[in-house]
Amino acid sequence: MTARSGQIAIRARRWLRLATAVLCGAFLVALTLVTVVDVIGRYLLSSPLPGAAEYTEILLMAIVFMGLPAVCLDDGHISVDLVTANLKGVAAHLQLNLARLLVAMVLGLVSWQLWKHGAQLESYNEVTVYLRAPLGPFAKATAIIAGLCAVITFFMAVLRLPKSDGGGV
Amino acid sequence: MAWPIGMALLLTLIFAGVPIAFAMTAVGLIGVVSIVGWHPALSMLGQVFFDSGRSYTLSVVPLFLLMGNLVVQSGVAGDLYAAANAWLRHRKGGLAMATIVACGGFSSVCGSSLATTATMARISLPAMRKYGYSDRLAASSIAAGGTLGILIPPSVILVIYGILTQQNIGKLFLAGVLPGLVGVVGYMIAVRLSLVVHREELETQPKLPLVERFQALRGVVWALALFVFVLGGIYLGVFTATEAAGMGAGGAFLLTFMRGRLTLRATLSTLFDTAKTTAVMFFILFGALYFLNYVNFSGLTSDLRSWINALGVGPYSVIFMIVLIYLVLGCLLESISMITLTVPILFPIVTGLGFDPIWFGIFVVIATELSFITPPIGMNVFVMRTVAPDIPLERIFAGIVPFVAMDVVRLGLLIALPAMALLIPNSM
Repeated sequence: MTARSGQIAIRARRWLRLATAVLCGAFLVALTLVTVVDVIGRYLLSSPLPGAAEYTEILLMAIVFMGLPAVCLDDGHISVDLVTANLKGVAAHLQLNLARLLVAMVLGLVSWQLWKHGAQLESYNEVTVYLRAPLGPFAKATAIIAGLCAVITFFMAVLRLPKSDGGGV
Repeated sequence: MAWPIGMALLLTLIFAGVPIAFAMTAVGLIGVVSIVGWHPALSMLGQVFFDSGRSYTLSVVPLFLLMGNLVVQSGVAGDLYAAANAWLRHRKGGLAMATIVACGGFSSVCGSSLATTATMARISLPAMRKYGYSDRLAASSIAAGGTLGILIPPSVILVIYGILTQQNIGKLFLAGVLPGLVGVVGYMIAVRLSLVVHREELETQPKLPLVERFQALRGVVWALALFVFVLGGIYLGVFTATEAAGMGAGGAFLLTFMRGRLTLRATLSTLFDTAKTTAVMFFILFGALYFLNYVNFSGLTSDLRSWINALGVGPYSVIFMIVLIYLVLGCLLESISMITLTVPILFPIVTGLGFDPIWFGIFVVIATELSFITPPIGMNVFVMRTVAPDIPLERIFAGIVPFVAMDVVRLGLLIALPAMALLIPNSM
């Protein structure tokens, strides 16, 4: 990897982190507000938030999938390093990158099936009960993010990037 | 693929360092494909990763995580320790006992053991060192106290258990209260035991006047109010566990704001961390749910059940064996992986033997707490290490023995007296 493309990769990574951080933050605040408004509305004003459960469900999935790219960039999935912690040099590299390849493969399959699932939901015109929000496009969006994560993880393995330390927002 | 092969493959991948979530999905996929073929196996993938995640009840996970992370950000831990100290400092080993009490208090608004340990370590370790406590006692009391995070509600582990077994999360939380308090008392006894065993002589601080002791409580009133609000709401049926999580997160925002800690930068970081942890946990859940399909198809549970019948052992022998399984697994696996791997398999067997599903949840959590502080991979001990890298692991593990002993006693008590867990939820 040249110095220039390295710079671009680092900058892209920083922007991706910041963008997902802001989006995740907004979704989480919204998720909290939905419940608070619903409960307070129900007890104090006897008018709960219409469709609160559906907002919650959609926001939840949005948080899970928006959080995923940053986790992949950080190698932040939980794994057991009882055995592998003692590996050094080539063996440690091989272990890390083979594990990443497997993660990328599974994510790729998940992405493919999420897309198919989305197409199926679209063909039924499946919508949520109250808000009439279409589920197909939403499933396809999760498929795109999962696919992006598969690509990210794949390139991290191929380029043999060192393990990131997380590094804040 | 027969289940012994599947299990062996899964453990191989996990110990080769493949992230648990993806190891479970991959092996689950291979297993399901081998039993029902490619097409249904693949379409189940889309269903598990989309439909089971789009669930109203599952929103408790990010919301309780957010509540705990905000409480860490609010800096209330320092006040909790100061308050516990004001009441206990004149007793022998008072600072260590105050650590335990403060950990218990912190656990009542935070559902994570690691967060509890890391937060309390930064506060109480310097205090104990200043007054001549040995690193052995100081570090082990923090690591042990931190385990209370997952028992005293809210608790991330109980949420996961509730989701995997479709039990009422509110009831699980209420069931955790009494065993959690027993845990606090047990660990305080362990502190005194430790002083006796290691012949540690400590100076005690002069007793504070009662007025000052009450003044010290002022800083923790709002944190305790948050706990009472969330748990009381569940107990009285004012809100469901899901709603309690949202209200708790809202309350934690308010608490952090009132303490002047709700800055943009820190809050964005807290929110982002919460989202990342949520993503990690959901992919483990998805992996576990997918793997569960394979477990069901492969007949593992019914095989285990017929073995137990063939052996002719009684229900308590089975429970004893499960304790041993958790002790061994606890040495090898990290908590969430251990729970997601074992609970779906053991739950039908244990409840089939007539044990209460809520009780078993508390049992699993106490067994998990043990795994946090036992070698070789006691997670809390490692968290201690990151806060105080100068303390050798062996010293912490040496100090942990009395605490582990009290955990074993507590587990025995829970088995002998199921009411310890079930009294409060059954009175709902």
